Amino acid sequence: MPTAASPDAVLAALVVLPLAATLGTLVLPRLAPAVATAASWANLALVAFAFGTIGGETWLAGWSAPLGIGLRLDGLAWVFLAFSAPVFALAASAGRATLAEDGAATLWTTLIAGVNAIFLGADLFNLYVGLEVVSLSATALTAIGAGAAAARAALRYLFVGLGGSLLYLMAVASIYRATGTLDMGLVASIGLQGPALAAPLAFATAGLLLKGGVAPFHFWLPPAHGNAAPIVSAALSAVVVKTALYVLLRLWLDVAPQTALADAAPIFRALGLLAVVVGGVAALRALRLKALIAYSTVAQLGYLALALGFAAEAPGATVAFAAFAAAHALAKSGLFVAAGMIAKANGHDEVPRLADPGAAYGPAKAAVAIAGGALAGLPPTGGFLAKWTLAQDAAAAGAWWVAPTLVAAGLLTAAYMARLATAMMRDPPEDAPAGEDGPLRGWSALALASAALLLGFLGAPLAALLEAER
Amino acid sequence: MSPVDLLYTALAVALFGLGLGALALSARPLKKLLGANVMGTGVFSLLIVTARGPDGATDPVPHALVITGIVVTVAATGLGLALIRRTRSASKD
Amino acid sequence: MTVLVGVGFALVSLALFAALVATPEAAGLGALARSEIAETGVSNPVTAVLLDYRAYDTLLELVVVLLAAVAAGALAPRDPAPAPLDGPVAEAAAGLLTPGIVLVAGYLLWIGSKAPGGAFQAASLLAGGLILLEVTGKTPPPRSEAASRALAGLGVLAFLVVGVGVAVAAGSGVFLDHPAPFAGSLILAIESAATLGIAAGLLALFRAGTAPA
Repeated sequence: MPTAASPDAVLAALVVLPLAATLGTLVLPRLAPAVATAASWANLALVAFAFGTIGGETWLAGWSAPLGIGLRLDGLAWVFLAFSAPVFALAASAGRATLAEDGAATLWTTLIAGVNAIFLGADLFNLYVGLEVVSLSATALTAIGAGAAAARAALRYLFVGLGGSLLYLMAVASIYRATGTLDMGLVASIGLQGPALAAPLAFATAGLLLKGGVAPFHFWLPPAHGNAAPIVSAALSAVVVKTALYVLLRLWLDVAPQTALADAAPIFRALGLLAVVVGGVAALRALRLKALIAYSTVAQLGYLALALGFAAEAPGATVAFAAFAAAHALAKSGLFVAAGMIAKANGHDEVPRLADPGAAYGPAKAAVAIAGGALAGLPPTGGFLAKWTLAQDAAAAGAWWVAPTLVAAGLLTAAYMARLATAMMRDPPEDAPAGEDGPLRGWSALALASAALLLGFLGAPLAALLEAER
Repeated sequence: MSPVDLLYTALAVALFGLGLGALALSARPLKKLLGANVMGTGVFSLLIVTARGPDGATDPVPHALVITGIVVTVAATGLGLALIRRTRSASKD
Repeated sequence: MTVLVGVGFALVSLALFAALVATPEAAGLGALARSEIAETGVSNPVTAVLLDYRAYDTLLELVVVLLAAVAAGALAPRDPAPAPLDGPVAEAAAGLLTPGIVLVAGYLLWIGSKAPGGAFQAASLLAGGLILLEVTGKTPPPRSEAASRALAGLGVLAFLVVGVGVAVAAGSGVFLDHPAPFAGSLILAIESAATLGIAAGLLALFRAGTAPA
């Protein structure tokens, strides 16, 4: 008799709980925002509880591979769940007005279900369906309750999402054709070689880089992230782009042989560097605050590609990948929520004209400062931990240029974040509209940014978690 | 590979490539959406050829994947049409 | 530039084709899917894959239909409904075809357990019938946006209720595991709910995607 905390029950619950909430939002439309917020917090509690089942797996419908579909919770999956869940919970609390828009609460819960399904997924085709759940929910949320620019950005985002998914699906079809299975572990054990491996890997990688917004495939990201409602931007940049890059990491780490990743490493390193430069320079020149933050995401995603570029030679690069993803998720979601408040208090979001929104915005301003530090990689934040880990591993792999590059990229980040800091020192104009945000939003932003700070102290447990269960 | 399989595989890949071209290069949203549908048809065709296994017996798994894929594509297309209408009515305002 | 990208896509497609031709095909899962089919409660192997072996895929797919229907309804501009088709042909088509369509949809749903058919085929047909009524001005239910969304969630609801219910009742904790003696009936119940849910979702997508005349 399995106990209540069997992995079977816990792993399934991570998908079932948000879906039950989805149905709740449909049956009780008036309570939908409350249902979605409660589900986001319940999801956080469930993820914390699932810590006890790390290493567990479940075969859904009682069929093991190759016929059935598995869910697996290893250390890496838990870390990704663990930085996403607080983003959903705190962003939902910060954005009740957005969740009250028609349909938003339902899509918020399907987004959580899809994200959890991807992080737990062990089946290549099921990951395709999960990616569609996430990208269609995210696309619709981008446009909901926002203006014409957001609708156009959402449409472009939809096309990118569809194209990326279908490139990935073509890879999955080729893999099934060659192996007769869709389970990641079984595909890996079959050991594809030559064109049978190269073709699907190339298609899947192209599709996932497109969906993940890694330069030069980032063209769609700034308009989508820069025009959506603040909590949607927070979820998009913190979690949604990471789902595609997580599948990319799994594919290269768990499905492809290590030699393949070593061969492809220069590509990922080059794309990473390109993203850091392109995103950083664009953030420095951006006129609008949300565009600045969105271009900063482009730059930060470069670090993930860079870390993937060293994962073949240095096992610690996976730790760096997870630390970059987590630090960026927490800092960036805090920054988007805080920036939304500051822009609203100013009545516009043009960086050169932004001013201090006043003492009532203390938590939001603190969130901006801490998140900026984490994004620039200042010690002792999670951003520093990630850079430190990557620099060490790269140096061990003989790539001496990585450490100075990361420092230079940190300076670039500091430069564009300084534009925001300067703005916060300007006196507010006389006619600034009074802020009407509840204190909850500012504290939510601060909590997210603080989590990015705290992450910096969790280097050893993070490494232990990723080593032990892989 | 039998000549028939070869032909179907070639058609599947050609559909996929043409759809990708329309999705990436066309300026009109409706054409892009149709391009994505054609891409999907390419993948589904490849899965259908795959289901006709080397031993001649039919494999039901790719058939089921195709049904799932079609339903997902229909849903995405419906959402796309609604979004296209939204961008058009927004640009009229 | 466009030509260059187009040539690039053509070369990529050629490379994919070459890789596919060079790769020997694996045996696939056909034999295994058939040898275990007695456990699933159905005899149509495609239905066995969709509702048992890979039922979790189908659940997520129903989520996609549901979320797309909700999103399309929320995002589509609130234009007045297009003018209905009228005239004797439209009248006759709606009046004569719809009952037949509903009947055939029911048959497809029922036969899916042993022959080609099933929830998706039945739902697309049913949605076609509903759309026929819709375009001829006989607005079929569900008429309110809220009812339409709740109905579109029916398939997901059935999966969750049966999946969790059986896992708790059987004490196995395994989600979506249907015990053999009831598997056939449980699958038919889920498929019936899924048929109504998908049809409602498709109708909602049609309504949201139709521009006024």
